[in-house]
Amino acid sequence: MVIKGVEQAVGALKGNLALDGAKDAPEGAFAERLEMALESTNELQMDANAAADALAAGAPVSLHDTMIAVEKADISMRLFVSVTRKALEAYQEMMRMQL
Amino acid sequence: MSTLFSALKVSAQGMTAQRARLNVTSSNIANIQTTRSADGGPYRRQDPVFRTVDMGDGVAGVEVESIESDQNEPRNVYDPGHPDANADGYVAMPNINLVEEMVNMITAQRAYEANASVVDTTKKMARSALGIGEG
Repeated sequence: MVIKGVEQAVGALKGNLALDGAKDAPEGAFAERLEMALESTNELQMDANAAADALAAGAPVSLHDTMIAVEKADISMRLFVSVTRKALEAYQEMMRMQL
Repeated sequence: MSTLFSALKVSAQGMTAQRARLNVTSSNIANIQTTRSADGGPYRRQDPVFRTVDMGDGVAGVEVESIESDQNEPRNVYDPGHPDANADGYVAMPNINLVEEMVNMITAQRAYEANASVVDTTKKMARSALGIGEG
């Protein structure tokens, strides 16, 4: 019976997980995308705020445009939160992994 | 995401168009007996003209191109006591049919509601897509 060293096993695992392949992806791609998503979400939130302010101030903006701006901000916020939560979950799952 | 938001944008444009139509209808009903207008003569019935806006990816929005005057001639009503009656006792009244205006008003209301339903459905679709990530 051949007993393999732990390092060897970890090396095989590494190969399976294709961790080396991951290095080919541009560095910080996910972080950059996340930042872009955060920016556009923030922009939509600001649009919604501006529309609500304008409506309250009696500017000639229509009610439905304001509501739709708020809805857009809501949808994009939900998307951002759920993507962030997923990423965190994946990270925690990795951290719990016992090697 | 952009496709979803373009559906919302088109619905918003549809709602804006129908609101413009309701505004015009309200002017028409309010001026049903107006015999004096800025360009002389009675008030002329107004009608909004819509135009489609190409938004790319096969999405077509809508906008109000202009608000035009109705082509029909004013109605002549016999009312010799009216301050604007002519020598024969006839008064030129606006060419507005109240029943037609009420129908336009209800059509505008229903179309506005339909657009609001589209917004609601778009929202629900987005929510159910986001629901995939839950749990």
